[in-house]
Amino acid sequence: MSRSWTDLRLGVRLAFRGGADARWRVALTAVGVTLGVTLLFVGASVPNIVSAHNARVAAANVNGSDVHPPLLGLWDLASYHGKTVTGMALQAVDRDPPLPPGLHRIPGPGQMFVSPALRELLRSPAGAELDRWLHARIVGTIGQSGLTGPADLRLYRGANDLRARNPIPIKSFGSPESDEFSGPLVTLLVILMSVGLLLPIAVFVATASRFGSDQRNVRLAAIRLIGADRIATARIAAGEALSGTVLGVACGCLLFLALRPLISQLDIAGISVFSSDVRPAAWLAILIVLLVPAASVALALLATRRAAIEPLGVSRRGAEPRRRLAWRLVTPILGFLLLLPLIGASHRLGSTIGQVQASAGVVLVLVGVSALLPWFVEAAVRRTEAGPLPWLLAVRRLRADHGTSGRVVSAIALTVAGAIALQTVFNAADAQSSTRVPANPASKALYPYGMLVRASDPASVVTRQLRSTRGVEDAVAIANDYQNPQYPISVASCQSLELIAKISGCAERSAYIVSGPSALRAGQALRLGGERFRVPESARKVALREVTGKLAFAESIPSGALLLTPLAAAHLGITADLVDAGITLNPRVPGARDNAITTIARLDPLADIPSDPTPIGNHVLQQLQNVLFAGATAVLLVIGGSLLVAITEQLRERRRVLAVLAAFGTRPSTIAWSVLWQNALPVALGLALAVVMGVGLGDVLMHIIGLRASFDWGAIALLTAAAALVVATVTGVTLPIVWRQMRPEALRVE
Amino acid sequence: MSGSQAVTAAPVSGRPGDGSLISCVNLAKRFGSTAALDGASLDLAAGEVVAVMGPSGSGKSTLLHCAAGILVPDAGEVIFDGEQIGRMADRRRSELRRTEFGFVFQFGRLVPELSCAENVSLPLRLSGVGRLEAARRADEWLQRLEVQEIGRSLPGDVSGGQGQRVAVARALVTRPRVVFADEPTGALDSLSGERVMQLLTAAARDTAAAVVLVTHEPRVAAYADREVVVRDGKTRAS
Repeated sequence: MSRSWTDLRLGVRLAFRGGADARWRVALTAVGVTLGVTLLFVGASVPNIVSAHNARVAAANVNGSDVHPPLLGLWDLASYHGKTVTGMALQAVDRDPPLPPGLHRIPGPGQMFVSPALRELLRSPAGAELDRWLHARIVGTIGQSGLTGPADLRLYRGANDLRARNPIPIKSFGSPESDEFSGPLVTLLVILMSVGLLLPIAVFVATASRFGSDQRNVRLAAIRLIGADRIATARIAAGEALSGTVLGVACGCLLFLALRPLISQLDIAGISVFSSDVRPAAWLAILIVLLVPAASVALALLATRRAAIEPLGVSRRGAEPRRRLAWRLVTPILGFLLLLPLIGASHRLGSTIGQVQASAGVVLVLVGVSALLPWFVEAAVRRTEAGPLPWLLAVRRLRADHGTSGRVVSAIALTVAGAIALQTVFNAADAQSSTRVPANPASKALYPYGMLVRASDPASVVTRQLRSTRGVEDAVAIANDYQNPQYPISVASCQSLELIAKISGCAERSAYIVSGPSALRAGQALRLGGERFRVPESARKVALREVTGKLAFAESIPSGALLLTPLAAAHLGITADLVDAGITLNPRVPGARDNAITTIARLDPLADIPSDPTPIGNHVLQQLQNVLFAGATAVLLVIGGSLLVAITEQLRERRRVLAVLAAFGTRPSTIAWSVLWQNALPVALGLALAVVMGVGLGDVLMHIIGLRASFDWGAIALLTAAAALVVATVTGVTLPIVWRQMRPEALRVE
Repeated sequence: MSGSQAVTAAPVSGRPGDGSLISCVNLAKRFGSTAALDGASLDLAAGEVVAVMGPSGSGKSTLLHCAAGILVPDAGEVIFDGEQIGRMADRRRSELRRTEFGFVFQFGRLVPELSCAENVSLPLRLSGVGRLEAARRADEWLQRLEVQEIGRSLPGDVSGGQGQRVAVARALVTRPRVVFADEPTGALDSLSGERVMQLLTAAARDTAAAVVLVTHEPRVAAYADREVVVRDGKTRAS
């Protein structure tokens, strides 16, 4: 025991007291492991982040009640300069109404509670317009329990006229769980994202723990030469490897803790998380802390097995065994074999076994990228003889040792393959989505609805005010009363009615019934809202016109609805004061959209204004897609950093050779090009492999969830280009190091 | 180029003189607080073999590096063929090293991932010679240095003596006017060292190349026409 301890301590001492070079290598390993462990902790926090998000969304869900609801509510959504503001208008009916999470009381009419992010936005010049639209006084801040994240733009405002707006009768807030992140598709996507993003980090950590392994072997060979046996050498190697890794794990823990508050500052396309929600599951955290050092020791021991000792004490690797394709194909084939049985059985993803099967399949396919890449690179460079000198130096270097940079490129290829598979599934899900809002070219038109305007002719008031707004080309409006779904009634001027329906000869008291199945007929006596009235004898059936352009709002007029002119409505004693409108904007007038919304808000602050067209059911997919791009970018940047470290280390280890080349008069550009080729060749092969495997994996996954194959080649090209850009940038950044290492002064040995 | 150069008789002193191929005059060079050279001078005639001797840390390698344009001295001047090396741009000095000088280092310092033949052809390819022609000339030189059979081997797979002969071939393949050899036998056993020195000096004389030979071994220095001793950064003729 004491012998082992002594050997381990010797290893640690060699790592820290082996001179500047040794300390540099420990620092490189520590930096790499620190970054990797930090990302692993973030990745391991994803389950908690998702469950916390679900809990927060669930807490804000409303539970309805048909009888005597203590609270009325109306969803109050707005799109402001590309940002989504979520909110609800509330009207207390009971003395003791249920409270939404994060609120201590229901705001009164004209008052609102806002999230800290919204408060900040409203106080800034950028939020001045929104402040005018909301038209309410801030009386409090929504607590953290009522928000999905620190960047959540949320509000609750008070109202006293919700009964006229088809409100939601609310019994209580909070449902057991949110269904926002659930279902086979989301399960598969979360699996793919976790695996696709965490696997490259694991590869990266393994790579970082081997920084400087060649030099380590040299020292170990010298130690063996003076009598250390194989086991003692292994223990010393373990001690040396542990030094950088344990330091990295410790720094990674600290960096993660330090970054947690900063994570809450992030707002990626509207997604944000509270730092308190970013906490890894305890068992995952323990696994990371134990597994990373253990893996580094295992890898160090693996590396020492190839060290041979020469009389001069220089270790030399034995001949590299020729890489065999057969076993490298095993992992991807096994992966696909695990995934294929899930095709047409997506329900199995709901079970633990199904999830494990899918995860294992995805892991094996992606690991296959790492397994196949070295074979591809070797096959490509094996017989390369011709070519300019930089090319020759690069391929020979690759042939001699793919080394650390090769492993880093594997991680990049792995990231891209995973991201492409994810992107493919996202794209297919998006393409298959059937629930889309009507075509709504937001830059040219607006369709506010549900504007509560109390006037004798509300539709005309709305039309007049909108038409006098700067930037509005034209506006059409119709007032509706759909309180009794059996007898829908719409009121508008003759001019508007003639635009909406195929009407001719409309007069002041005209009435029409929209064609189609209807409970209404001419001369019918009705009781509506306690009032009696009779459908005019003159009411005749008319067909609606084809819904185009600004008339898109008229799509909501149901078959069989009663169309009336304002005078006819007044004559019958009908009050229809919820107005829908279609507005055509002049795109040449700056701020036309904002001006129109300001007018609408003045007419009714609670008017509903649909945001830019988005697929309704794809909110979750969009959120996940944003996270994917953010995650892939973060992983690529970290791996790019490690590639930089790897190249730097390689250049340092080769400084004598570079100095000799410089002494011979080698142009720096020759070496620069060779470094570029040395990186570009594996990257090009890796990306090609990543695209093939990523598309293949995506295709299988799409079939599993029963979606038609659909590839967004633009997005795939973008991801691939991003990875290529990272490598090109890293190579560019290393050029000054090349210049520095190429100084012939490095020839000096004394 | 050097083939047309007349071989001059070896001068008897280490002092700079007219008609020298390289003249180093009063060189000074410091690394931090350490003065590696402090008024060192060296004169080398075309075709001459000069041994630079001295104990470890005396400044002999630094003198070689300054003479070869690898280092720029802090003071003094190095004149090659009438041109001041210290005033040349880095690009020009690189060109000079590529075309006019050859180098042999301790341990060979071959590029590990290139085969021995490719190592020899490397300076030719750097000078723009085509791949096939460079390979042909490299083969010639490997044959001349009696290591033709290891042409396809990697440097890591050959013995120290063989590697050093490859390094000599690499230094001479461009037919340089000066070969700078820094402890060329320092890592070899005496038998291999002797053979390397025989081949190096014979080949240099055949091509009329001058040789600056840094060594601390009298046995190696015996191959030189004359010796210059460096001590505490200063030179004196022995």
